[in-house]
Amino acid sequence: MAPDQFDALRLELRRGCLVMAVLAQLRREHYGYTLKKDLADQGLEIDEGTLYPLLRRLESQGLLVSEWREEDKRNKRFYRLSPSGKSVLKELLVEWHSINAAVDRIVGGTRSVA
Amino acid sequence: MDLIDSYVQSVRLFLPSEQRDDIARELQEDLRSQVEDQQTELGRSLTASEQAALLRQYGHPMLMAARYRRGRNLIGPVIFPIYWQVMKLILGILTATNLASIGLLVVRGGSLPEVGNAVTRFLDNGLEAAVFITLVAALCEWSLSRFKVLERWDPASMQSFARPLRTAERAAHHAVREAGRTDSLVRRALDNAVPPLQVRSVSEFVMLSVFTAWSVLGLTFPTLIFANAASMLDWAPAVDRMFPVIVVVAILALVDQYVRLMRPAAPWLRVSRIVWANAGWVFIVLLAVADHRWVMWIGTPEQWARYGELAVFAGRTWSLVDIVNVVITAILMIVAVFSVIGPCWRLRRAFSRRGAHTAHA
Repeated sequence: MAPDQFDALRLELRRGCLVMAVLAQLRREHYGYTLKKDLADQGLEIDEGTLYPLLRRLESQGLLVSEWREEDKRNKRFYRLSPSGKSVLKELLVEWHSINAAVDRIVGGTRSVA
Repeated sequence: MDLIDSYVQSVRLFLPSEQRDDIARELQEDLRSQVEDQQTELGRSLTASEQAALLRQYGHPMLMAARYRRGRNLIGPVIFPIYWQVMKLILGILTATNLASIGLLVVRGGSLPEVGNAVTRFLDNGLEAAVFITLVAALCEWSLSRFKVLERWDPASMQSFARPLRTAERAAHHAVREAGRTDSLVRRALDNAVPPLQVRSVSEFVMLSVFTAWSVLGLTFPTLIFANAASMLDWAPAVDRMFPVIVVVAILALVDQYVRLMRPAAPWLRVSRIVWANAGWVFIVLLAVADHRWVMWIGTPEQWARYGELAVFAGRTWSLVDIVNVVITAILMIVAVFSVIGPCWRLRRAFSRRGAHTAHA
């Protein structure tokens, strides 16, 4: 498979997962850089060019709230999950678990072929 | 100004205006936090190449800014900011020339159907220009992504933005001390101060492409320039004779800009800058000695009766042709003067930016 084609498929696969991971991580307040670090520490690398616009988009959709505040003598924009973000995340997680279980069953059945 | 500041400023240029300051500020703060973090870890400040490595993860400023734009499908988000600038510029010029010609028609007692025709032609022209610009923009967008121009971006190419300012400042101070030799020294300082900044080159290249195509088309199809008055005015033979030269110069300018875009560090760019600056002087001299007859009358006697004697000024009668010739001379003069003083203005701006940065630090 051409690397471009793989990249496109990988990107598509990651897109939804990233939204969910970001929402879940923002149950606790973060600013962009620490959010990226925490996600990376847990094994999910996300580049800044994706993360920052994603945060803006989720905020404009009302799933996140943000405020500018000073920390360590620097002004930072802190994000956290909004009440509607909380309920959306809950529904997404239910969906995720069911997809995950289904894909596991399907992939598990063909594992010997792979 | 270091690489981080240059980067944030470049991204800022392409951000949606309503969120511009907020996003740029957030980007700046988070980049600084990241730099500080790495510096604490290393126990020293980051080198330029380490900063460049950091910025490479963020991607080309145009790509970074484009990710903040959503839901524009006709023209992709990367080209959109430039596309919109060009659109406003060209439609603005078209509107100005058309309104002037319609206004003239009304003042000289044009009938209702005549005015109606002029307005319709104005709308047609506007629509054609908009379609044309959109096609060019779509082509630019396609080629940028097809040839992965922005993905091959090297943050270090912005470095020249920070470094030569000191050299330029020193050179300029020296020039001031050595009054009388200002000209060549300032020019040398300018050469150091105007960096081959890739981001600016992208938008300059697109703007110049569209503008060149539009003016070359305008020489072939006078309606684009003269609007409603194209039934009475045509380019004078002298302009027609100059046409090949104009096309060659336009193509040279485009090639020059293209090299700036693809290889910002190419050594002959310094030479080309000097050539262009001097071409401005040649242009001024040529303008001064030209006979200033750019357009000629091709209208009917009835039209002459209406537009032949528009005004009496400075002891003579001015026809439409005379007035258009004066306006074109004035515009060319302004362009020529700006092409020469442009670099001076850039130097001044570079200084004030540097001053602001020093005050901030």
